Amino acid sequence: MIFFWAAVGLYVCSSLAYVSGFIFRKERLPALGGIFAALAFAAHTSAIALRWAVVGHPPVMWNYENAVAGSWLIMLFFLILVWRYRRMAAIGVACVPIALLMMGYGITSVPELEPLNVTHQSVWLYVHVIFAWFAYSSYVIAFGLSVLFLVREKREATGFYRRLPDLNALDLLSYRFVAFGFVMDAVMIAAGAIWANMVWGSYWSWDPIETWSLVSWLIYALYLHLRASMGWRGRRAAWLAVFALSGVIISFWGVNYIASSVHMLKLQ
Amino acid sequence: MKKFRDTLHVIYRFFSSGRTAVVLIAVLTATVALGQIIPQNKCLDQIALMSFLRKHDYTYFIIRLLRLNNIYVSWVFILPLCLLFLNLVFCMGNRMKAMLEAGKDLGFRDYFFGGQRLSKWGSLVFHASFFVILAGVLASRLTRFEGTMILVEGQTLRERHEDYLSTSEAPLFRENHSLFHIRLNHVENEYNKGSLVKLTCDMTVEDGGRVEHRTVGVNRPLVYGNTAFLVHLFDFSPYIVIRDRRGEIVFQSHVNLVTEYGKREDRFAVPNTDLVIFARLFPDAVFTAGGLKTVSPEPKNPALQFRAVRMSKDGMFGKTLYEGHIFLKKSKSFDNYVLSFEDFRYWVKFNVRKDAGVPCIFAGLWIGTAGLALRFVAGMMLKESGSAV
Repeated sequence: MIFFWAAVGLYVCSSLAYVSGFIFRKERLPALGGIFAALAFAAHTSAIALRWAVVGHPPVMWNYENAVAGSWLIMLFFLILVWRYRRMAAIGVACVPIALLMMGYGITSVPELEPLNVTHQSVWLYVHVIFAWFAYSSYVIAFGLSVLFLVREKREATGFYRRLPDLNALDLLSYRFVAFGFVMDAVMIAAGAIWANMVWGSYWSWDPIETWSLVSWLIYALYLHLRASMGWRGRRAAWLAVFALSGVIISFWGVNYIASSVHMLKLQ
Repeated sequence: MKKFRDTLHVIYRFFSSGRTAVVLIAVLTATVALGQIIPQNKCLDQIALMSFLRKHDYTYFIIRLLRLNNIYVSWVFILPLCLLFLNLVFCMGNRMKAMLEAGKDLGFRDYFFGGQRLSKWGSLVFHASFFVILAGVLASRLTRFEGTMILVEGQTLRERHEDYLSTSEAPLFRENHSLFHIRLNHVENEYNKGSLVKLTCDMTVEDGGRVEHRTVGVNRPLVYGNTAFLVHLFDFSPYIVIRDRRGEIVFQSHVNLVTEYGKREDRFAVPNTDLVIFARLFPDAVFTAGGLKTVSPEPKNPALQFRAVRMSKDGMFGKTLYEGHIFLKKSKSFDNYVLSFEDFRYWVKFNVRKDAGVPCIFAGLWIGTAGLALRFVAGMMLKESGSAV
């Protein structure tokens, strides 16, 4: 847990640096935020690797492991994006706090070291969960890019804002991340249906978690159709990508508090 | 006639519009979400549902009137879904027509890979997959069979209506049972840190002269022909013998208890008597100051904690005749009876499924995924930009 808390501490520093940099328009602070984020990612990776070595399975079970692994993938996408397009580093102002919140949510669940329960001993678990991480991480990056778009749109490309990427690049990249997440999400839902049929004998039971993940997938389908059929780009697409993340938040976090789900059951 | 043609043209334009698709997807999304906000009849949390009914009886009357309490099979959901499929047919028809016309003079390579055609083929394949899924769902709805069957170790049952605990049959199922014999030979399980990490059921299927041995687990259902047996639940089945004062056997049977290692109390009635036995089974029992407890989930030292209660003539529970516990191979006397705990085995509850639609649905899912991958991933790799969905 030392590495976990080190990662949390460094993510806090990174978030503070990013947010302060934007509020007070200090160019060096976002750069410092990036350094903290990279260090936090290293600690985060160590935490996951150590847990994996101790429990003997990848972090795929229950809320704690999924929150830690999902936030790790968000940061991986973020760091790859920054390495590829340096000017995208500013999306850290949205992505790093989200990763931090996810880790915070994870720690509120029981982080006990648990072997894989018999219900979870299936290759479909890995397919389902890994594609879920890819999908939700892509959506979070798209959210970050959209937030940056909305911030950048209202400002001249001078001073602090000259370092930010141009609006067309932000819009196009956001669309691509949504599209990628949409494909990953579809695979996640398909794999979940196949696995559910093997375990529960029913490919779809309108379970709350199943249904909310379908709702979030449909919201992104709406995004793609609005872009294609009605030419929604720029600000409208950005607002929709920001709103669409709420569906993901509900299906990942909110539904656990408002409904019982077969996802939470395991054979004892 | 002209008015009729104009009307048809308006309907055609409406259903072949991308904007219509956007509106219908939005309506469908809202409907699906609504079903998660309004309590549904088949929700897991029935206690919360009953509480809602008590507090909001008038609201629930309106909800029931509009069929919102069973939204996923009501007009609220099915109507926009049907309209969306109609929209899909028209849009895909137009798109196919345009692509075929545009591709008339193209060579083979350009027909599929030229310009933005790859992403458009991907989009068509993805949207076509919904019809494959729909065909599968309809086949499933019309022919699906669901049943539950309980087997104790050593017991053999047949795949026939009478041997199921409960069944649910779609209209076209028509008692299409396979009649083979199925036997649960042995159950093995293993725990690690209180978590069930292994559960295997050694089973035999006998069909005519053919005998097959299968090892079945939670993620490894037994599939024989078109029938799948899925492990759903398991617990202990103590063999209980009750004798009267003369030594005559009044009751002897395996009793399939659901006690979750002693956490829950289950009960069974003793036929031809006025006795009801409330029981908990502790698989690895120790007697402590706080009463009987189980040390582990493994059956190393099983004990039965029970209460024998007399039922009155009007079906109410009356006097408790005995309350105590009994270890394996021991007996206890109470009133005019002697109860013996002579043996125990595992029982396993299987969910049994026959569903002809499932392969079609899964084929549709994979076709759809391939279409999406073609549309976005391949299309983007070829540096297409701003292309239509």
